[in-house]
Amino acid sequence: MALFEGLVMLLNPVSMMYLMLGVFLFLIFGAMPGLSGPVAYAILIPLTYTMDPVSAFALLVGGHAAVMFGGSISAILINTPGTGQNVATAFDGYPLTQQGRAGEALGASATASAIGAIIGAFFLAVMIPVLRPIVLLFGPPEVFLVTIFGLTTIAAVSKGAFLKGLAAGTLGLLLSFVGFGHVSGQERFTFGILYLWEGIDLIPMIVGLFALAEVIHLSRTGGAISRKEIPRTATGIIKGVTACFKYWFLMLRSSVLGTIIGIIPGAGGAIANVVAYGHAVSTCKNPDEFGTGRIEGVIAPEAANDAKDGGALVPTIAFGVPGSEGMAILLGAFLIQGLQPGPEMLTKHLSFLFSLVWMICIGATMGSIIGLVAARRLTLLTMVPSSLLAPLILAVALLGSYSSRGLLEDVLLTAVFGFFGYGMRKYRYPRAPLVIGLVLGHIVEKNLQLSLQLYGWRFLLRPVAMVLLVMLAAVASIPLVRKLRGREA
Amino acid sequence: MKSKGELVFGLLVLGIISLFVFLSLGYSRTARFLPLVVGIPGMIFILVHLISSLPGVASRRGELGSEKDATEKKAGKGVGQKEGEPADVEAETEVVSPAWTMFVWIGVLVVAIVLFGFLVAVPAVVFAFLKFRSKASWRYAILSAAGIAAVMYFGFVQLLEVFLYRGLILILIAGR
Repeated sequence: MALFEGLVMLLNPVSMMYLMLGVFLFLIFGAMPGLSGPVAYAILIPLTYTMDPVSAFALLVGGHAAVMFGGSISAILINTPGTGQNVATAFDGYPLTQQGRAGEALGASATASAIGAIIGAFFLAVMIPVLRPIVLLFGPPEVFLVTIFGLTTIAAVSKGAFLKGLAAGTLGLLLSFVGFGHVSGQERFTFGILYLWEGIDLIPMIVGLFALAEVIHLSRTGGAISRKEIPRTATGIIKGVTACFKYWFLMLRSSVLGTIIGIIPGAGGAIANVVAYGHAVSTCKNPDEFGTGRIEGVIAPEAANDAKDGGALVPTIAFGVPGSEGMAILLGAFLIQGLQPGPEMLTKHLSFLFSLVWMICIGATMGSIIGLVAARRLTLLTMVPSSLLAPLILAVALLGSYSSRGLLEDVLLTAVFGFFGYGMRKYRYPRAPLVIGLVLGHIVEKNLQLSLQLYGWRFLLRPVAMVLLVMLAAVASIPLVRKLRGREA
Repeated sequence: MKSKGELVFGLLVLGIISLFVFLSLGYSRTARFLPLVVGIPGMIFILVHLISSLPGVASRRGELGSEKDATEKKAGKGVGQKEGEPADVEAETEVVSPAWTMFVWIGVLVVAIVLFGFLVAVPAVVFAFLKFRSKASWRYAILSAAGIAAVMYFGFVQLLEVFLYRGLILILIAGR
């Protein structure tokens, strides 16, 4: 009944108009490197002061459901993840673009995003009343082990250049330790430079490592991003959409994985994206082909990072504990609207809560439909000669890198990572492990140190931690089992 | 090791990881724990890679792997190339312009931003790049520069209220 009331609350012209506006704005914010969801939240929240709660959250939550798909557009087309939560999408999305299959990748991304978001929202709706004890089972030890799952992806994305991949992953982890230690409070690797106190930001790094390095490479080799002619029909896009249904079970598993990671406070969408990619690699029959343009490499991370939104709303709404930076800002929006997140939300505002579920479903679907309609034109961008496209990508990349924090040093750092990324590309060092290391490094350190302080090494004996350890061992043994089976065959 | 450049790059990676490990030694126990746990194996990985790809070692491995390579060549694949993977881009594509020219353009753009700020530097460098390097038409170069200036001014400055850095020269002239 409350589910139906929630839908009725949302289905009024004003709220739907705000939802559409939100979807459009968040798509742009997602696609523009440096302008991610939290930035959009920060800009749009002041506009919601005078709105009614349903319209305000239609603009914010409904719109935000489209941000991940927006981020995947630039990841697929120009190898630059629009948000930190689309990192893994570029691993196979961009190779697909280079093969002239950008439409297929965008079609798959749009469909996986919409379905992932719907699955995440479904879990939000069904599980809110029973989730409290489950969420409380996840402390620092469990978050640490979930993050280790993410780190195992480094091995998966380093196929063909294993040692180089591990070295790149090491470098990424070490770079994540720059700045003040989360637990020790000690200033590390800053060389006395004030800018480095806050650590190395993800946006300048990924923009430099991927966008700038790609611009240098393209200007060296000439031609267009796509090395093959793009079909004039929408066949590719349809192929991408149908691929999601072909790999429906992977999409479902990745969505559930994303939802669970979203529920864990502090884990974040980047982990969901990377862990789901790693899951796709480790469960695929031909893991060696990942990184060269496998459509599953787009489906799994995109389903997971969209599903994560529904999960992330659970601790935010049910306990007032924001699971991520974006959710922290959204928490502010709840308070502005006079809604106090916590158990009271489950009793007094249940219909409103279900209207949030509908907002996610409708927002993500709308975003994907807009994306599918625009995909055909967007893919044509990859046919433009790089000599004409390069300065524009360069300008947008540096501008996005600057505007994420308004620091000029970020522009310089982007250039440094651009040169380094070109070196990595040229000498076949996989760049993905570097990003995975930077994204996950500080989460690993913070949660390991907290676990050690709270429980000592006995933290590994906690029930959920032990289950996660067994799962880790199982994942780690998959390649070995495959090898043995291969020998037997 | 395919080239001197690759060796130098490998040494650069080793140097950076070693620097992190060396600096960690001076920190407190908690602060140095993970950097050392991560950094020391990382040094070993890159060292093993560098040693195993030295000409002498690589050729010995090459003799062992020559049979496999020959089979791969017969199948029309590059040595070590994965199924479905595009062949080595660097090796197979024609070089239109050396990479250092793009390094210079990026350097010029960054220096121009520092000196003149985003609103002046970005459209000016975009125009110069398109006109003089890409040999684009006047119309395309001017329209692109104007387009990017419009996006910056109306999109970032007016709509998003992002403060775009004004450049050292303007700051010196007009003050903050």
